[in-house]
Amino acid sequence: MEAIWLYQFRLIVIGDSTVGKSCLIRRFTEGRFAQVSDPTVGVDFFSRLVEIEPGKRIKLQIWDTAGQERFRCRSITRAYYRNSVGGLLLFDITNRRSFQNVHDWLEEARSHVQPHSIVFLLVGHKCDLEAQRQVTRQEAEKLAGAYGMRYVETSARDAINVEHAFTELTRDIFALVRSGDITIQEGWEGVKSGFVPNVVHSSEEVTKSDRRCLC
Amino acid sequence: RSLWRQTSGGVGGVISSVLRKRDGISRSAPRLLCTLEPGVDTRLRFSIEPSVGKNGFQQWYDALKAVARLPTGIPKEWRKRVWLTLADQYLHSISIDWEKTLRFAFNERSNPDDDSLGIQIVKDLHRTGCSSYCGQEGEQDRVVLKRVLLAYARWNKTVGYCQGFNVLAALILEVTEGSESDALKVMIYLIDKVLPESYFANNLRALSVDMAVFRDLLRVKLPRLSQHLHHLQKSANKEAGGSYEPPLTNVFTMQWFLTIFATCLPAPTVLKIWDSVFFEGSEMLFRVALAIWERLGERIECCQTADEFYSTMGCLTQEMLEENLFDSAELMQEVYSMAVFPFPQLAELREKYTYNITPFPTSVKSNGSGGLSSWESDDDDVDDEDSMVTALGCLGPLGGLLAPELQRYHKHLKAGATEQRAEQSNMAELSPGAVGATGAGGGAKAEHKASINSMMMERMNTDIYALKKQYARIKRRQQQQAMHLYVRTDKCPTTRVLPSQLNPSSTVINHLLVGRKPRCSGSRYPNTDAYTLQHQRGSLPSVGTGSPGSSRGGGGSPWRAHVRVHRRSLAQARAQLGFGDSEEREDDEEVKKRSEEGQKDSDGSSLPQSPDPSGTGPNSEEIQQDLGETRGAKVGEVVGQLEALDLEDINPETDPPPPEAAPKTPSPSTPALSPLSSSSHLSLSPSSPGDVPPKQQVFSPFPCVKQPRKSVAARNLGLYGPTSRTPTVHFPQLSRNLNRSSGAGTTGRR
Repeated sequence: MEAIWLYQFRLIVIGDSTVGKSCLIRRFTEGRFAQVSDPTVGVDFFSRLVEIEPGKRIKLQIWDTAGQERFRCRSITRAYYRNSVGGLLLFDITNRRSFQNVHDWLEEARSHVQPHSIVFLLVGHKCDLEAQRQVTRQEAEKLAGAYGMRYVETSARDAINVEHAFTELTRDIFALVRSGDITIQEGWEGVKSGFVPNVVHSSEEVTKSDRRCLC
Repeated sequence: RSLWRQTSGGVGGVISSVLRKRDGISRSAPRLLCTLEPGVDTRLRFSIEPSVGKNGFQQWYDALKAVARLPTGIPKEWRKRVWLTLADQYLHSISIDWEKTLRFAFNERSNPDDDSLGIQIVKDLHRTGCSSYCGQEGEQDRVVLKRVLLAYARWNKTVGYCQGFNVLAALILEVTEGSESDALKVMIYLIDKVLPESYFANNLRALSVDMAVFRDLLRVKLPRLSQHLHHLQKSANKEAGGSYEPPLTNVFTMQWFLTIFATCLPAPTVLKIWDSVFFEGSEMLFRVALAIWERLGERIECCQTADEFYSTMGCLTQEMLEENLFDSAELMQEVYSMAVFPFPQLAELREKYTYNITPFPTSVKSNGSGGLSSWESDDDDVDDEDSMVTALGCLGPLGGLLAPELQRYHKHLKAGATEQRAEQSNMAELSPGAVGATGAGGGAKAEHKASINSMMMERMNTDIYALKKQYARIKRRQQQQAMHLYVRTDKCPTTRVLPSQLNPSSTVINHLLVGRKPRCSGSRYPNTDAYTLQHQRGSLPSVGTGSPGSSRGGGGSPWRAHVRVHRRSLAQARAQLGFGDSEEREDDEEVKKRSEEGQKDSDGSSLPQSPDPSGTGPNSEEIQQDLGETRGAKVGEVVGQLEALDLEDINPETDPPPPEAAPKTPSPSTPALSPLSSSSHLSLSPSSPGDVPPKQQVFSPFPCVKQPRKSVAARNLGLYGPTSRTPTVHFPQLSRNLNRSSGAGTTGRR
């Protein structure tokens, strides 16, 4: 059954191949770390509700993209940028190259969503692998600052900051929607208004991981 | 063989007798049997392996194809043998020396390319969605899988490794019972032969085409569902007028096609589908996808919004994979019976969208230096702000171009709707109302408009994108040419700058001839031939259009210099585009062998990256040494090149190519080789450091520029690059088969 939500935000998760996009999303939507997961071929999607304030639920529709270069072209994944209000821009803290490519990803995303913009969160993933770290927190924070976004370090394996990352991003977007900086537009799927939760305090508990199954 | 007969004798007997009786079955009998062409000798010596003889394979093929169409399908005990026979036949038809291929593809020593390829492969190994590939116990399986993937990437560098291959290879390995070489064979057959070209390469261009084609077929075959989906999509972008929401089926169709349903249906069903794909070709992808959507239709039609559709599909994909939502026999029956073979209009639709998706096809064709392939593969540098601005500026004239396009598309829609009822020639006369067959009636027109709208949006995107690419490419070529001028006029007095040199379209080369061993010391590259094979990568392997010795110029002919220039620019373009560099290497060697003076003249421009024919290529020390010998005037460029090398630090130099392969082709003497080849690299240097972002893994132009010697082995094996389908040119022992293989090569590909 369709749970009650105030807004629906569509998020896109981008970053180099194997930085852990799908794993992060699965940890968030399914609550588990999948040792085995196929590389994303094309695009995939997930959804989950988050409660940013008591009684205020936001439905997140999360689009996962293939990281390999050749999938980024043509209409394969590009088309999915446009309907996104927010995004997680991942890099792997143990892979310097993926950090260096953050700029390219950002540019690509920006060029495809104009005139809209995407609220991004920079995510340094795999922070459980501290020993192999190649990107310091300081420089990542500096980069995030330069782009005007937040920076969070996460680990899907150890479930560090995963909730935090998504919730923070959702709160940021929510604030922008509240303040009118982001407006709901007919024909744009980035933000959609849901059912007004006038009976929010119902006893029914929103399942934490209702991935994909809202039918 | 006898073992096979024993184990499968029961089924074989039954099928054999069915086939034998087929002639007696009336025309109204199950259509499966009727689809066999009458006149096929059904009193086959029905066996799991084709009999020898001229028609042996064809008989076997017809019989097994018929078996695959039976409800039971190919018995699983036969599968390995059947797949291998098909793959063997393909390899035979292109005259591949399999032993050599194996030696090269599974060579333990790493190739210089391997790192860039291997990184992505290794990354994906542990996440091949099959439990045997993860964890400790999966170690051995992972090693095998990696070797197969790497072997394929070495075999076909244009395709290399594409995410999703791990899934394909894992499934194939399952069938070949872990045999690496067998798996490679099947993989080659599947990707090179069965699936459309560029399905996995060149930004998945052919896949984009097929997804567009599929939406058309869906409109014809499942009009109600198609209309509903369209409605959902449209209401998702109602107001903006533009198409924000991509076609709803894309997400799924893309995955299905890329993994040939391996990640979306249970394994037994997938294997049956693969059997049929092997026998019937890639049109099975459309058939299966249509059958699936049809079965999902009822639940999808309940969805009121695009979001709801995606959520529902999330459930359905899960169910399809895990809960045997469909009966595989029923599914396959439908797949076979939904339309005649070949699927009506499919070829036309593919052609149409291939055409539509390629903007300015004429300009592409006239743009030399690799033609289509260069166009498609160099999207590494579209980030260039300049190019974007310029490309957008180009849109003015585009508006005019779109108008006739739109009309044509409109016409086509009518055609599609009336598909089976009208001859192509009548289509223009039919009114749009003909779509009424879909139940849409008066709404058909509206649907047309909507689909045109969404299609035009898609095209605009593609066009802008392609324009950006084209501009970037032109810009780079101009830089190269400016450098050519500089190099030639300054350092190579004997190599004159010819007008054709300034024309990009002149850098076309006959790849066939490139791989050919020198038979005499005279110039062997007739200029006319050089132009003929431009599109061999693009579409047709135009094998055998030129005979190696058809025109030989004198030793000092100006053509030689001319051709040399052509070949150099080609090599350079190819290197930049990250294609197989075997041609480049041969290019260098052959030119050198043929023209001594040219070498001496260009000696001064010798650069550190000169490939070493003996296979013990340059390492960093040599680079330093050579650098010392380089003229002062070149220092700037050398520095530039070294910088370019630094960018690639992630791909360190690796072992030399296999020594056993090197002697197979008479190698030119070392001193002779360096100058020319390096001069061709030299001209690369000005454009490469700035233009090419180092981020790419598969199509990175650098590995090829930096390590040309890697291709020694490949060239000797005849495996690399576009000539992989025409490898006979490399092997004297095979060249007697040239005629046959060229025939097979041209007809083999669609």
